[in-house]
Amino acid sequence: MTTEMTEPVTATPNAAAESTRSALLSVRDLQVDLVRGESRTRLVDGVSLDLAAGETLCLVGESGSGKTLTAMSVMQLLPGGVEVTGGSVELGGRDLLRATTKELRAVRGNAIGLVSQDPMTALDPLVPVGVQVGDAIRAHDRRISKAAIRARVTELLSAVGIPNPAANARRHPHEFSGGMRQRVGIAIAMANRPRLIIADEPTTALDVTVQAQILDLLDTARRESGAAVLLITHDLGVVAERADRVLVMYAGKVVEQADVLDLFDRPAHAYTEALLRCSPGATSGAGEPIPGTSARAGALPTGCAFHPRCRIGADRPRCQQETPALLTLGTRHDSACHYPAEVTR
Amino acid sequence: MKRHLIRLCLALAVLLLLPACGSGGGGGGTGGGSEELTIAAAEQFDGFDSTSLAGTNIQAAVMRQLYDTLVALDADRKPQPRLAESWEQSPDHRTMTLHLRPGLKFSDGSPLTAQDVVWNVTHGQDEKTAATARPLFMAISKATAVDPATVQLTFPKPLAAPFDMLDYLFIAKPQDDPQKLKNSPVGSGPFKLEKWDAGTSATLTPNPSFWDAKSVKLKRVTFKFAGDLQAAQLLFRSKQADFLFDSTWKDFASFAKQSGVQTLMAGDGGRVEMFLLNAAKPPFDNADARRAFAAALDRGAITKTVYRGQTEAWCLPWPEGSVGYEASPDLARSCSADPARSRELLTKAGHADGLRFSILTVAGIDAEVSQVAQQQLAKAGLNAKIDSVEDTVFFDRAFAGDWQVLTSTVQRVAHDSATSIQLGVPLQNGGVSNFKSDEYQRLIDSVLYENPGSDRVADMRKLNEFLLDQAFFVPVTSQNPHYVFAKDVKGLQVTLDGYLILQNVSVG
Amino acid sequence: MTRFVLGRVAQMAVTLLGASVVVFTVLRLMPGDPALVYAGPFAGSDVVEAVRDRMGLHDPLPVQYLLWLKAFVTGDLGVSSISGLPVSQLVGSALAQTALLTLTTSLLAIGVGVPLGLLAALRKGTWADRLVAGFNTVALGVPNFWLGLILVIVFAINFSILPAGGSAKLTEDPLGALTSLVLPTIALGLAPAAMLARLTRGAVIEVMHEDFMTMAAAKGMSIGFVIRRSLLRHVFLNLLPVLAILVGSLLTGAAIIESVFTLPGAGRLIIESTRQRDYAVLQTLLVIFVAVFLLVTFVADILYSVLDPRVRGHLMREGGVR
Repeated sequence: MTTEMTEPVTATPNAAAESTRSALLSVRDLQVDLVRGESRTRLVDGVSLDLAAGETLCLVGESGSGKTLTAMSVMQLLPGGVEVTGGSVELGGRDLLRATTKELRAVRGNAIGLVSQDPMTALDPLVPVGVQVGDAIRAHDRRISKAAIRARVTELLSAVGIPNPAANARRHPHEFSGGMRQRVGIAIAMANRPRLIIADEPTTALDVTVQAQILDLLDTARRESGAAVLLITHDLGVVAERADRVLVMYAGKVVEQADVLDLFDRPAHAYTEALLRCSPGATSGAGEPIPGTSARAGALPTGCAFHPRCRIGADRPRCQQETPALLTLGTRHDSACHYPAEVTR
Repeated sequence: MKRHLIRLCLALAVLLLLPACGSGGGGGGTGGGSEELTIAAAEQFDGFDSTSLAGTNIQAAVMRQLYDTLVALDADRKPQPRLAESWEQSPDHRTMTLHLRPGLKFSDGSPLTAQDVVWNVTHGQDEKTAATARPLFMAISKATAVDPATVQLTFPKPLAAPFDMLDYLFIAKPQDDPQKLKNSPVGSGPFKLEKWDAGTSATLTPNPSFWDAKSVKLKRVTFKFAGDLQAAQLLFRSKQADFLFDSTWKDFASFAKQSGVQTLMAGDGGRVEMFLLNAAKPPFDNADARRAFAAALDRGAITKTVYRGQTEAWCLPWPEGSVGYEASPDLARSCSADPARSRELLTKAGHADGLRFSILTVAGIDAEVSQVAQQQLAKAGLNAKIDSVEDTVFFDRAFAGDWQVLTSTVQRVAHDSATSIQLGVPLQNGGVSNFKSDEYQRLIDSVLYENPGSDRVADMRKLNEFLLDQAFFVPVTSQNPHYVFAKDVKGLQVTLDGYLILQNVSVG
Repeated sequence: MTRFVLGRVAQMAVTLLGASVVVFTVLRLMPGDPALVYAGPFAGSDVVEAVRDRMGLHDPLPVQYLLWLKAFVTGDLGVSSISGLPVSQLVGSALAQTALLTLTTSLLAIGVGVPLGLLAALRKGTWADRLVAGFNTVALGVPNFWLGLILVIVFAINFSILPAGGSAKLTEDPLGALTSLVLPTIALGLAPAAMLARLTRGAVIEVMHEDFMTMAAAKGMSIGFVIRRSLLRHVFLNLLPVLAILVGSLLTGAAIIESVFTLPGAGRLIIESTRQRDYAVLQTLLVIFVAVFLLVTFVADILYSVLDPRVRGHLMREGGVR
């Protein structure tokens, strides 16, 4: 009982809101709902994030936590029935949520490149890969000559490490291995030298042996172009190696965000702690699974959405009743846990 | 089942259409050309074999246009000169000499001689030809060409009505290939075949070599085969045809009331609807059972419901004016239903508890007649089951003798009644009904040939009484060819059997 | 690929041979004697025998079959037992008529159905979608022969602007032949158009859910660009089996519509020759029908492999597996 009142309320609410205006991508209080007639189900609830040029931000969380929806909200490519109902998404100071379809189309594939989760399905099986890369260029430059496209495609394929690029450009996706296909995917994302690359679990569908190569490639691309990378993953090992900052999501909300070293050293949310424990790839994870099942949108527990599975808060009335706010704990480290001090490494 | 449904829908649609266009068809359908006639027909031609008169009505309709005969019978059954301009018979009536018109030609321009006539006679007599009128041709024992313009026919016995046979002897140009006789006819009639797309249409144009070519006014006659009655009617109503060759009795009755079109029911005797009773099989091997069947039938009710009152109830298959009718006009049309007598006869035949049997028929008007008859028969204890089958199955079973009662029509009864018996297989001794008796043969012979010293009319009366008593066939009504055509079609004539003569037709 | 084609051709030949045996046998097992159709049910037995002899019906069945097969492969299709006309002429003109109607009907069905389906899918849930769905329901619910009759009554009889029936030949009267195809094409093509609209809508929606469609949008491609580049190919591949069946069934005769419009096509010929037990015509026509179906599915398969590189690659490696 005593611990309940030990927490000092030093944090300021909504810390991210005060971070620099110089960020390339700035998401504020994003709300995404599933709209079915009259009923609305909140899928993403008040997510804010900032990403500067050249930086890699990892979105971490179990499936269904809203990390992909958050990323796709930036591109305004949400599945049918899913809508952004609040907040703002600014890229280079421009609010994408207020952009027209035409303006959005000019941004997609141009300022923002997308590397999708599954290279097996993200490429059209009926179209040669070279054409698919070329389409990304043509979509933003109607007047470009075929020869110019071909040259650029060859260059791109070569840059992502496709051997014999001119010949391979004429091949169809099924003739490539998964890793090779993802290289093509990266070539497509990089086609117009984007300022932001969104990579949605780009390696989950791939062989372990090629995962590192693909991530290296992505890193190289980032370094050479100076683009920002929004990397969605649930692999904390990847996070540890690639991220500058990490944003942990649970049940549609940000539960913790921090610089990568800070997060691994001093996790401040019981969920992050549990993630670290269950991830075998992470520095000292024991591979312990998180008990229980992930909270479902529309049927969220009261209080902290994580409390039924929480080591700390499962039995605490505060956790059961009071929704924790995302509060700044220290330098660039926010947590939405009632008892961050009890979280251990 | 589905077919019936479709027919029902077609009929419904046509019904819808009736008030929509009161005037119906009408001329000008073929581009206003005053010399072209388009005939819409449900059925198509099987070919143009001059000896093939069986089959569909449409088949008979084209005969007179393509082929001429030596002599033709007029409406009064009097012989009129056609290819033969004159003739004489020997005093014993056993030879007939016919003189051909000078300069006769076939439609291909080649000369038509007495030798060609002889070929047609022997061709018609050949078993392989399977000529419909073969029984008539067999009455000729010898045909000779006396000279290129004279034909002499010899008969073993003097025929009472020799011109009947000549009325059916269509003169075609001799060709060795039977397929050619069928597909590429070269004839002697007012028209020749210009074009034939089997299943689609056939076009006739005037035969320039026809002996009476100047009388032919039409420049073109087109038969369009619609596939069924409704489709044919649509062609007529949409003015794509100015002549509707066949129509249901219901439609015909409705057309007959309209002012915009002409209708013609050809003379009696083209066809007679009848029931045939199988005398070789129980129960109708018993004459009393057959008499019971005949007595139970109410022909008037059948003509009223099925034929919409357009036809007359017949007890004997002879039209007015024929020797068969004139011999006993009292018997020919008066045979009212008598269920009580029918029951009596049934008891006499040993079926006091009633009788079960089946009627073999085909869908259409025959089946309708059977259904009405079924109810009438049931009142007398004759319980009929109706086997309505497809044409070919009907043919198989009829040919195999696998039936008790069947519906049938006998065609061409308008000529001499003795000729009709000889030609109409259902009427023959030992014909379809398997009824065979020496008495019947004796009666037939007595009217078929000229028998010195005997009264032909009295013999015919005896024959009629015999037929009514034996009842192996039971006539119901005449089923005449009936045509609907545009107002501007003029000069239409029909043969004694009711088939088309287009020689003098004009349009507009 | 060549091996695949050769293999399939050989396979089709065997199927066709088997089909010809079945067709031949079934026709002869069917009740109904063609000799009686020719001579009439009341003809004497001697006459009927003479006709049977002429039709070659006295030989044992296997002999009849082999004689027919031998003639068939040497191109001699025989003559109709009823009209005596060459079968090649009868069947040829009927098939030509039907092929023409199939062509116009397919064009109508695809030209109307695919755009409507595309519209419905792209405007899913809007009034346009509902309008298309309404059209589909009506077009699929109306029996085509009834529609045909209504069209005839309205356009041929009441307004007299189009012919009620067509027997004009394309070679002789092109305009007449084409105008006489207008009404039957509409009557016959509306239901397939609706069916294609439904299938296209479903296929488009399905393809729209594919990752590569999202990816195309993420590339910034316009909807028109995506439709041309990806959507239509996938939708066409989806519809290919249905199109094959549609074309196949149209080619093998639309008997009822042909009756309504008095079009002398294959459907009417098969009904007529069945009624007349015209073996020579029926055999040829049925074997050709089987061949048409085999050919259409074969062409569909070839098209499939041309359009889908995965299948093509598979065929190249495996040498053709069905």
